[in-house]
Amino acid sequence: MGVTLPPLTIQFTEQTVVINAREPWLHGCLEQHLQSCLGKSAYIAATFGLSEEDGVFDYWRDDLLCIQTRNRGELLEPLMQEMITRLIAPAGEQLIVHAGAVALEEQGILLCGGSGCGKSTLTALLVANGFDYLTDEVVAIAPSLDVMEGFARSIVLKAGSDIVWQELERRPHSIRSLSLPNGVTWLAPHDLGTGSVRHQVQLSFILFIRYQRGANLEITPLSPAESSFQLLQQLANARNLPRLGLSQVSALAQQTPAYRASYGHAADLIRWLRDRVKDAG
Amino acid sequence: MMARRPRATAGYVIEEIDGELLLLHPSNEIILHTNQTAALVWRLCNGEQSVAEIVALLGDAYPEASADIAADVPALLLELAGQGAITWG
Repeated sequence: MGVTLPPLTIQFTEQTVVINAREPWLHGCLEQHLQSCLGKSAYIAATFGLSEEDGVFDYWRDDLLCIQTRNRGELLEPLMQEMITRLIAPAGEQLIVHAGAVALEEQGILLCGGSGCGKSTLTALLVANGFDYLTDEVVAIAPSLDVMEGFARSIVLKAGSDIVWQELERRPHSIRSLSLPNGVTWLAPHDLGTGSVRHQVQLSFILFIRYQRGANLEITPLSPAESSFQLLQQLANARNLPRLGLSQVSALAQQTPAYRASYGHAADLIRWLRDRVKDAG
Repeated sequence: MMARRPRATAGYVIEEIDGELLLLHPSNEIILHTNQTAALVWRLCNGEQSVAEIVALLGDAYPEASADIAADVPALLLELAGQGAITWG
């Protein structure tokens, strides 16, 4: 008699997706790396299915077969991406921003930047250095514009994040990680450092990051208009918002300090962030 | 160039913050940010005033910067045209 694996319900803001992973390894991976996202709201945005038969793994979305493969690892990245898309699609009045987020001493820091700028790498390094983890991918900012909620999945590192592994080599304990095709690794944030995994925190300031190997740290305060311009480019639900989110983003930028941070050594940026938090505290 | 009449492209959702402008066009989701000077120039692009007239207008308002205005405004208008924020009449 086979074991029935329970469905995994993943929640972000008021949306839920259901994952019916009928293959034990896949179920275990998802349960581990989405453990901080488990929950259920009233609205089911999508249902995903993962199954295996005769060595072939299937990935279903709402009864539609999307992928068939003999390499089960190939299913997880598409699932993660589509799951997030479905979770954020119906977002109402919140601002949904593609960004990382961490916290220190109850101060929330939004980490913004274009695709490939190193948000996830920096997020992992900050968490490894004691910052609390909210997300490395997507943030919902409440209509009141003061509280942010992160999608607290495992940190997804792409190929080239060597600096994180160098940092983690110094840690005495083991870290749960999952290696996937194309050099992608999922890293459980609970294992990285002394900080906690948080779901919500007060937003204190915004950092637009740019990594340049070997460069000195440069921190430039941004005007609210400059900050708005950058935030709008990372806004995921503009079409759902009045005036394409322009008023809300503008209001957020006017009440939240923002900086452009160009850095070549993460330790410099981490030191600056600690000082900034301490000065504001 | 100086005789051409720039017109601000219609349809932008506009937000002004401290004199700077954010322009967002719904149809193509282009987002533009102009500083205070570019915002002022954009607002003067009504399709009726030529580049020369805009330069003269700003030069009268800011005589200490008239040399810079004569050099910078045409270049700025070309940049705004390249971004789709203005069209030429």
